[in-house]
Amino acid sequence: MPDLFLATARAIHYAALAQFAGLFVFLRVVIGAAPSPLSDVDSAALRRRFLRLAWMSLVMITLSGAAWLALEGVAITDEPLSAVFHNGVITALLGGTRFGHDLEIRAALATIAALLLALPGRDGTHRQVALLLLGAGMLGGAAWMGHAAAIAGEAGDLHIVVDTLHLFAIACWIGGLLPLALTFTAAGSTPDATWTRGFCVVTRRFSTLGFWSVGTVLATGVINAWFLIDGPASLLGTSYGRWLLAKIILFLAAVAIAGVNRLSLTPRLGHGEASAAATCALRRNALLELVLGCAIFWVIGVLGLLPPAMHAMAAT
Amino acid sequence: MLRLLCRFALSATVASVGIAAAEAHAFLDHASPTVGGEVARPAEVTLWFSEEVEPIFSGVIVTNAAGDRLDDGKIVADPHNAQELHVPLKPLWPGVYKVQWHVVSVDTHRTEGDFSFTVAPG
Repeated sequence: MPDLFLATARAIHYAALAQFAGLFVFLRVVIGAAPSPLSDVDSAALRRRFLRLAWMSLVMITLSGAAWLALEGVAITDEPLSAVFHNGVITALLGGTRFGHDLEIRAALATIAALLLALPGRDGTHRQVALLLLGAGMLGGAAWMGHAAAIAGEAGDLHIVVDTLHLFAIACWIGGLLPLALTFTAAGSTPDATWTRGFCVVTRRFSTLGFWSVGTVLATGVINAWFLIDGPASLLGTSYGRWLLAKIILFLAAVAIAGVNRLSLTPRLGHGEASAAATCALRRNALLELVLGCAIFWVIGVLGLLPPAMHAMAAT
Repeated sequence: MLRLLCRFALSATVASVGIAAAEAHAFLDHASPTVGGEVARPAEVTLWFSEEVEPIFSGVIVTNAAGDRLDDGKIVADPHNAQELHVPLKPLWPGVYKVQWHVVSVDTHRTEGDFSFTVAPG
C-alpha cells in the first residue's frame, strides 16, 4: 500500500511542477506573441483564472512534496508513518540525502514564486519570466531525484541534462493544455472579431510549441531509454519495461490527438461556422490530451519506484 | 476550474493499475575482501556499489560464525567516491565471516544483501 501512495505523491508532484512551468511558458511564448487583447491578457476573468491555476499548482507542489517526503521515509526505513515523524527520519532525509536537499531547494524556489505571485500590480513580462525560470528550476531539480542522479560520472551528468529537457518539454506541452482550454472557454464567451483573431494566433502558436515539445520529448525519451533499457527483451521482460511501454502507448495516443488538432482542426479556425465547431473540438481534445497527460504522470510516478530495466536484467 | 481539476484528478486515479513492488537499485558491484575470497586479517571491509548511495541510511554488519559482531558499528563514506563504503573492523581471527549490508541509493531505493569471506590462518 505505501508504494501506491508513494507513486501517487510522485505523480501529483511532477504534474504540478509541469503545470506551473507550462503555464508560464504558455503566457510568455503563446499568449505573449498574440495580438491584443490576448497579448495584454486584458480579460480580467482569464487573468484571474491563470493566477488561480498558478496558485493551485504551487499548493499542489507543496502538499505533494511533503507527502512524498513522509512516504519516502516510510519506504526507506520500513517504519510506520507515525514513527517516521518522531524518530528523526524526516530530519535525516532533509539534512543528509540528495533527495532531501533537492526538496529543500524546491521549497525555497516555490516560496520565492509564491512571493512573486502575491506581489500587487499588473502581471508584467519581468514577473512572468521570473516565474517561468523558477518553474523551470523546480522542474530541473526533479531530474536530480530520479534514476539519472544515481549514475556517476559524465554519463550521469548527460542523463540529468536529458532528463531535465524531457521534463521541460512535457511541461511545455501538457502544462499548456489547461491554460489553452481556459483560453478556448474565454474566446467562446467573447464573440468579438479581435478576440477571435487573437485566439487563432494563440492556437497556432500553441500548435507549433506542441510540435517542438513533442519532438523534444521523443528525442530525449529515446536517449533516456538508451540509458535505462537493455534491449527490446527488457521492455517485456521487466516491470520497468512494461510500464515504459504503457507510457509510450499513452504518449502516442496523446500525439495522435495533437496531430488531429494541428492538421485538421487548427486550419479551420477563423473560417465562419467551421471555426465554431473546430473551437469546441479543440477544447474537447485539449482536455482529452490532459487526461492522457495525467495518466503519463502517474506512470512516471510508478517508473521512479522500479529499477531501470537494464539493472533488473543484470540482477537476473 | 475546480470541476476541471477534479476531473483530472479522477482520471489520474482511474488510470492507475496494479503497481509492481519496489525492487533493488544499487547492487553490490565488488568488495574487498572479495565475495567468497580468502584473505589475511583485513582492517576493514570495503564495498563498491553500482550507484551512489546515502551513508546516513545505509548499514553494514560483519559477524563471525558464532554471530558475534566484529565491525565497530560505523560506516565511512569514501570522500571521493559516493559509490564506496568502508567498514572498520575489530581484529579478526582465522575463520569465516559474514557481511550483511543494506544501502539506500541517491534515488532513494533500498537494497540489501550479504556475502562471506574467510580469514586465512597465519
